[in-house]
Amino acid sequence: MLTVYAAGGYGYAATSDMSRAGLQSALDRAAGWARATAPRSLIDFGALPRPAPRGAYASPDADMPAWSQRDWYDLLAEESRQAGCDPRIVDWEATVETRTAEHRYLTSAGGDVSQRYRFVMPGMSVTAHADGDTQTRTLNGYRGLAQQGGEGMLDRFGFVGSGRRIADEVLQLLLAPNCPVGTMDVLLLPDQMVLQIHESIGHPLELDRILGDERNFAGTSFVTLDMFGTYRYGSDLLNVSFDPTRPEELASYAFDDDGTPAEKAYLIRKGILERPLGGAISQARAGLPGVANSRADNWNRPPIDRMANINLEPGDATLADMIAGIERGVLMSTNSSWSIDDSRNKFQFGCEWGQLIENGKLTSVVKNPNYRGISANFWRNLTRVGDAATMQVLGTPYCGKGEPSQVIRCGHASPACVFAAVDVFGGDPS
Amino acid sequence: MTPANIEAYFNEVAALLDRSIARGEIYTCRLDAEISDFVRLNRGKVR
Repeated sequence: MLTVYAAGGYGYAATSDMSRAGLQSALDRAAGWARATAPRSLIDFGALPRPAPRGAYASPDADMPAWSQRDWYDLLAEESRQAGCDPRIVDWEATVETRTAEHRYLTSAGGDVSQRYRFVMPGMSVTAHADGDTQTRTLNGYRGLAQQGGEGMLDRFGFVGSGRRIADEVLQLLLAPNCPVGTMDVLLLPDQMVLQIHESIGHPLELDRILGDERNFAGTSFVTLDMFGTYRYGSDLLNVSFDPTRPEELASYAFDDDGTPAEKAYLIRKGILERPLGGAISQARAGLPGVANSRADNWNRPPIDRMANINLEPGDATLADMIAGIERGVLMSTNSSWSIDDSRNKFQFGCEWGQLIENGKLTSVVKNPNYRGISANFWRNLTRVGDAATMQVLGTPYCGKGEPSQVIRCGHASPACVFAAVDVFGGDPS
Repeated sequence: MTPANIEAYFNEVAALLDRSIARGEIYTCRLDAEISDFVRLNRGKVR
């Protein structure tokens, strides 16, 4: 991708033709777009600073030898064999996606950045069917297990042995009653919290959405520019950061794709909205501080405002304390469905696994646990935030946005959390 | 590469695969390519 600032305009052009003539042709096209659009541009690109970053980044274990295909096949085949352990189990899969990537960023102002990435993204899913009902259980969700680094991440999530474990859980779900309906406390485990954070904090805080760029495709936001600095997004317990410094997390890096150095920053502190997810260009448009989140998903796409690592900072409650503090509620784990409006406000989310909490104790398993809410109210009902021991570093490799379409990796780390007075429902028709 | 060159190259690759597979083996071969211009507008101006 070649980007040109000329005459106050901005143009870009990508090519797979890496010959001198091919690159020159792309450069000419980018410059042509910059000059042609300058008189009609929303932004005076001539006023933006010219980045000159210099540095390097490498994922953990970037240079360690990778497993062979045989190593992976043997592991996945054994987990798959263990998963298919009961005649009610009708489908199962053990998968892995591994990737390496090298990014080089050069600017005419002298910038030169090299970043090398290594990703491991395993998956385990088991589906069972009996008496007209079908249930699916996965290991931390569909592609929810995704980190930077080497195969050591498998141990952190107990991948070995997960085939039988997941199979046992899906058979429990088959025998379980539906989740009850009503207003009650909900204890969300990290593999549901990451979806909650992604959809109802990450997307609404993307500054290009707030500025209207994505209105016709990905959507807009219930957040407006005047809210930053004063708006109460959540309870005092809500602290959310943009954190590109956690090494194993999916979207850690040293510089974004506009050359801005990536540093940790709070988006929400003690419940108050502080700053949006906007890169250098959006920051200049909005007159607000942002973060280094201008990212492209590939060599042939321009960088736009994306989520990266958006984390909910841990609190001080143990899991046992959180359960003990609930008189009537449901523990929910592992996202299975999501629906949210295009301003990222009203939502309805479903989980794979539910377990009742009655008088401070975990009791029976329930299937089809769902809840609905409104972002602007939901986070204000955050009543307990789990400590670091309850935290997991997860993410998604497949966050879609932009035209032409871009699909990018986002990391999310979260502890378990309790929300009060949540509208809960199950699979029974009402 | 021009679109005509890319198509010719893809056909050469497919022909090579035809000659290389053993009895009982099958293959699929796919090419994604793109030539696009894209202009995003916001507030009636070019974003």
